[in-house]
Amino acid sequence: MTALRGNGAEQPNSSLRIAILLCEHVEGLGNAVNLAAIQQWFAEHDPAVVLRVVPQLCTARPAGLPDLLAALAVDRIVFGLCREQRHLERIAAQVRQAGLDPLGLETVNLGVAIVGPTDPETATRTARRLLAGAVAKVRSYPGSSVDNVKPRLPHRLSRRGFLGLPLLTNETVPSILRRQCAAERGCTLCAQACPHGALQPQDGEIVLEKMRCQSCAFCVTTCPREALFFPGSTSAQIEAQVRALLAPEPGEVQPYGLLYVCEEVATTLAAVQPGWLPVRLPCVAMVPPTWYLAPLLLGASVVGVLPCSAHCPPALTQTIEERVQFAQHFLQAVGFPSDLIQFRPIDASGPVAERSDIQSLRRYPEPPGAVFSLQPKIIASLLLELARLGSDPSGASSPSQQSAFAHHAAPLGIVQIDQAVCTACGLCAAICPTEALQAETTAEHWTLRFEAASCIACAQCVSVCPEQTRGAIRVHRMISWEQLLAGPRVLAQDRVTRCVRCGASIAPARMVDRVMALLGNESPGLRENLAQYCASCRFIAGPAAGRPEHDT
Amino acid sequence: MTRRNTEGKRPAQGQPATRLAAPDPAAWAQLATLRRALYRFLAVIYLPPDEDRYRQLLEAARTIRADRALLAHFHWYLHWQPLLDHLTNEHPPNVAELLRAYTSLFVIGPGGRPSCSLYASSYLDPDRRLAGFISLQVEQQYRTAGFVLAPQMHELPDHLAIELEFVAALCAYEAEAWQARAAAHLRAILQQERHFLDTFVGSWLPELARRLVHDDMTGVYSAAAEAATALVRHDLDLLAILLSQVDEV
Ligand code: SF4
Ligand code: SF4
Repeated sequence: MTALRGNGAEQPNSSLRIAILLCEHVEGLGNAVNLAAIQQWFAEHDPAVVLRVVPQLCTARPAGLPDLLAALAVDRIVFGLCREQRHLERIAAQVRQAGLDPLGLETVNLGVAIVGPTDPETATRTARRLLAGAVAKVRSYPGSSVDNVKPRLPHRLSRRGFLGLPLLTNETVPSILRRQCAAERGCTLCAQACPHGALQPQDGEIVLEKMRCQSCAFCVTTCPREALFFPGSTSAQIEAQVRALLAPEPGEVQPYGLLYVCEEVATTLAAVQPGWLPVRLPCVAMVPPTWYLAPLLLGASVVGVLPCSAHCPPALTQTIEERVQFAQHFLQAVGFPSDLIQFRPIDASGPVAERSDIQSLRRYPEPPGAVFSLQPKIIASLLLELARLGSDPSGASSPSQQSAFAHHAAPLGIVQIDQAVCTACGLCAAICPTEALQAETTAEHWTLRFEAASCIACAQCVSVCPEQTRGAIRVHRMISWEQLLAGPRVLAQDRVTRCVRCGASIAPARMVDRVMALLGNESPGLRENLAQYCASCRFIAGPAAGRPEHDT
Repeated sequence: MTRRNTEGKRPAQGQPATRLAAPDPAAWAQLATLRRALYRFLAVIYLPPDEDRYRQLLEAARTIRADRALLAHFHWYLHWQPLLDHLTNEHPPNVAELLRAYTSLFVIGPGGRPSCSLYASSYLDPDRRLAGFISLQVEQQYRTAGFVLAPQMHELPDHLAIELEFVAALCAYEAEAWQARAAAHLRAILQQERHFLDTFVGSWLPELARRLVHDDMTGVYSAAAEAATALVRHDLDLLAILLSQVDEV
């Protein structure tokens, strides 16, 4: 946690020492959690973890926390609490005092998560899973930078508050990893997505206006280049947490559901039936469609989402619903029950237990590579894998070569070019943030290639196309199995017109044709001059070829 | 190092009648006073080290560390720890070592040129010209605030230590303005602080910090640049918030 130069790229480091600090009241939760059993599990499975019970961890400022952390010489911390900690700012200060980055600490509210189980064994198992999930998450914490914090005024200033100084609170905000960002090419996806207008394109960069940022992390999952870094909510951290939460345990038969929970409603978790393993996020609208599907491959029996009802802007609630719908329809399309994904499962009675009879995806081997990544190629391979398993339970065959699955929330898309209208300007390829479209000019040809596995259907290519109103380019949100399997293909091609004087390339022939069409009845000399000569020869050859009669 | 020009042109206090209604201005005055002390501490680090200055520096570092329970409430404290570690551990670098490093880093480097200039002009002037228009702009800022260099200070106005000292002076003015509860005056000072941090100190400090990571063998100067960068970034955010609050009044 002392790593402060977060660039979002660091790998989880198994040599890091991690402390789990538990509230002394945890043992009384969920019909008596067996702390000794949890301690033993970690000693056997993850010896880098040290477990300590700390008095008053949930209630007040625990005494001597900086000294304890220094004595334990740990790199990361997980707090296992019996209820919501209302003094997190003070805890964070103590963590900072010990030289650790509080943005990397994880709190697990065991109180609300294990209140339902009726027997001590289940309570202990659930608590252990939740702690293991948090440990995996903090282990993947890549460190933060000064850009990831925004100070906020306290709600109430009191001179007696704290030695007379106003206590600022600190909020996590995203930072932009410039080396990964494609804003220079014109990408503005994140800026368009931010519901609070906090991200703005400025001189080929994306700039965050911290004052506007509401720390929802929604922007993070809109970036296909993973260039938005939000400590605590990176795709690698969430994947590590989910894998640990769902890790198979010998002899354990209970199915688990994975529940994405908005921070705002974390405390209402008590109403959720046992068996759900919560993953807290700044805002569940950040969950991209594939995060609903990926846990099914990692052992979840069912995946749910619990948004807050009061605080979420309607547009975000709609986004959540659309993505859930996509995941449900997708599952159905490839041969799985759609109710493996559930929206607000809070009212359902025992969803996980009841779903234990379904055709769970658990029996397939866990995918070794990243499945939560936001890179389109990984999204594509996850969808292909699910389609392969769904269409043939043995997992042996591929999805139908003919089929496609269209949905307005599909995370991938395909591009169509009308060759009769496209002028081969290449602007679409220049802006594409994922390089799904690539233009290449050789001595003879201009070629536009397209790879469906890299297309996120962001339609930025359409927005820059000068011929968009004439339908030169179209984007369809759909999963085209045929195109995904086919790999890169030529979407448009044209021969390059060459200068009749020096032989240098002028432009693709269709661009020259379009210019001629736009010139209409202009002088034949000008038309000939532009169509046959390169920029350098145009004026040298001007008189012979018919000098332009006026400036164009 | 500096003295205040009492006839200077810094915004006259209490002129507009607007009284600040923000809760507990005394607490904000205290925060401004703390920030002043921190900027002064950083300024001293970037002056040529001598016995006296060095002793004061170590003393100040120990005082800051002793206040860690309070300071750790600010996120920048995390970025100050390496610097405080350097200056408060059992064997801090001695004056001679620091002076050698200071000279080779900031005065005459191996090739006759310093590897990490302490002048804003070296980073912000397109021609890297010292005593050019950047120095003039900085001096203009000082004049506007009624801040004049002490006669014994023979440095260009855009030297890092002087820029930091100027920010410290602005913090002192800010503390007074909070106490006086004069919103318009306070707003003017906060705006000037923000402008100076954003346009001058904050715009080249990160580059200096980056260069020092490679070149500074003592670790003190690079840790100080990191600490200063973190404080400046934090203060820019803080000033934005304070300005929005003051504007609401
Ligand atoms: S979406 Fe990603 S690549 Fe595009 S501008 Fe935003 S941060 Fe950069
Ligand atoms: S975290 Fe939310 S509010 Fe902040 S920039 Fe990202 S989308 Fe906008």
